[in-house]
Amino acid sequence: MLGKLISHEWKDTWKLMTILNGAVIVLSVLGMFFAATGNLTDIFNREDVTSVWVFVMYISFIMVYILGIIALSVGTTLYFYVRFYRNLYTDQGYLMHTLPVTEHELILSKAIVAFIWKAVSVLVVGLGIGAIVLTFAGTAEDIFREILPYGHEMFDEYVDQVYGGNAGLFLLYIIVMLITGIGSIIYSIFLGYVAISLGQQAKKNKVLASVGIFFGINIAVSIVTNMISQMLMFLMMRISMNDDYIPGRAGAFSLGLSFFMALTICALAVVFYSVTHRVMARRLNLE
Amino acid sequence: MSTLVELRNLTKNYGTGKPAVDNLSLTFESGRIIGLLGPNGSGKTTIIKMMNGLLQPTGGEILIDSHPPGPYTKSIISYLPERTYLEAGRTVSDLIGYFSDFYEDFRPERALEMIRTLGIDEKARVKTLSKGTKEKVQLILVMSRDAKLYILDEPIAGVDPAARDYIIRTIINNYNRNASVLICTHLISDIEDILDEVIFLMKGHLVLRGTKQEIMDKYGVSVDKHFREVFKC
Repeated sequence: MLGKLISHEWKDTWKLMTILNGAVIVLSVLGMFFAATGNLTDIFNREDVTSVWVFVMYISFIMVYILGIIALSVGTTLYFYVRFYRNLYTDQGYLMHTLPVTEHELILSKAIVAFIWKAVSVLVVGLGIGAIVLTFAGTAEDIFREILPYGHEMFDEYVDQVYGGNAGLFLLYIIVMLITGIGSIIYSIFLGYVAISLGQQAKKNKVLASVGIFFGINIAVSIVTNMISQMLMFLMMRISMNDDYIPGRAGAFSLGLSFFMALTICALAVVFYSVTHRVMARRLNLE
Repeated sequence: MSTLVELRNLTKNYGTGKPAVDNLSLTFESGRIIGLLGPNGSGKTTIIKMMNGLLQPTGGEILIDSHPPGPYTKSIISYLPERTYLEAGRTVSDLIGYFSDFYEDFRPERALEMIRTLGIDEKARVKTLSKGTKEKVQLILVMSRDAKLYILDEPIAGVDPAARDYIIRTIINNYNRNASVLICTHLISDIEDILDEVIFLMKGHLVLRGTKQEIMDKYGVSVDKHFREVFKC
């Protein structure tokens, strides 16, 4: 049944998500065009009126692009939160909760489709910005030609200093960061779901209660994780600045810090999922 | 006839003082059309929601075909709530596909036949349908299942007399004859003729239970008239 639920959730969401992601892809292609044709040094050196207009156009495009990215990112998150709420806790819940499926299947089907689209939007934004930067790099060859030869050297020195020359540790750090990234998407999905589900327990103003719980959890988690990570950062910096500094210690700490972040995010996502399931299975109260 | 539904000491307390359903015990046999009757606030909808797993009881137990509410009971209950639960963006044929996917006992050909008889456009989206048409589509979907138990919450409330006749005809012509139909309503005179049995509820308690004939023999009036006497304000 999970497959069927996912398939219907996909059918109901793919059109809007394709339009939103498609719009950012079009903007990225436009950005690549600007990056390929423009020459910033030339614009600043010229004194004619056209160069001013070209500059204004560049700035305007960058603003539209940033707005597009925000719209995609915030829009995707909000859209899937609203779908979760409307499908499961409003009149539509009378159908969803009387389907012969388990609460786990209901939550997971929504979460899996939301995760796919959120991951797609991250890739669309990441690849879009990357493509624009690389296109720009092609046009700003002078700058990059000077920097690039030192790139390898800088990287080797970074790995030597931070990871004691152990590139494996650096690779592990990248993998942990990747897990943290994926975990963050899952965390944000279940943070919304748990806030919506707990908000339903309020007697009045359920949506407002959900919004309050969402920000409440977010702030509490941010404060606690920031405090712990800053303590770890402080320790790391003290060790790095110590006269007896041993190369690799900072890397080990940085790896420890990222492990801590990854574990916290994944553990919280599991807690949010469990609470959402418990509310749905034991305390469902459709009005 | 075997026992299809068993409610044992069922209680639901919303935390507002008096419980909405208070230590209620009932059994429903299969193959019966039962009217769950009572004034507003008598606990009808609360009982129905608990049977469908939409509300959790504060106490007691519900067994449907010997199972507590869960995926199995949902696969054998065809439930018509008192509100429209159809997603606005879906077309009528999408909905038929949706029901076919999730309910093994759903008969799409039966649904299509009724949809076509009423002249409803299969390609029309739910949001473009009138309130009455939405209700009919929902009833058609519910009655196109060969369920073991149909639970219909206020199926004829808020519709015109012609639509009421259509709804009652649809129920009678389509329900699985081995199944039970539990109809919750306060418009008794319209459905009295089709009921085998009636249950009167008041403030979450059972007030009276009997066949239509038993009530007529004992009180000398129709179920509707007796209801009016029992629940006189």
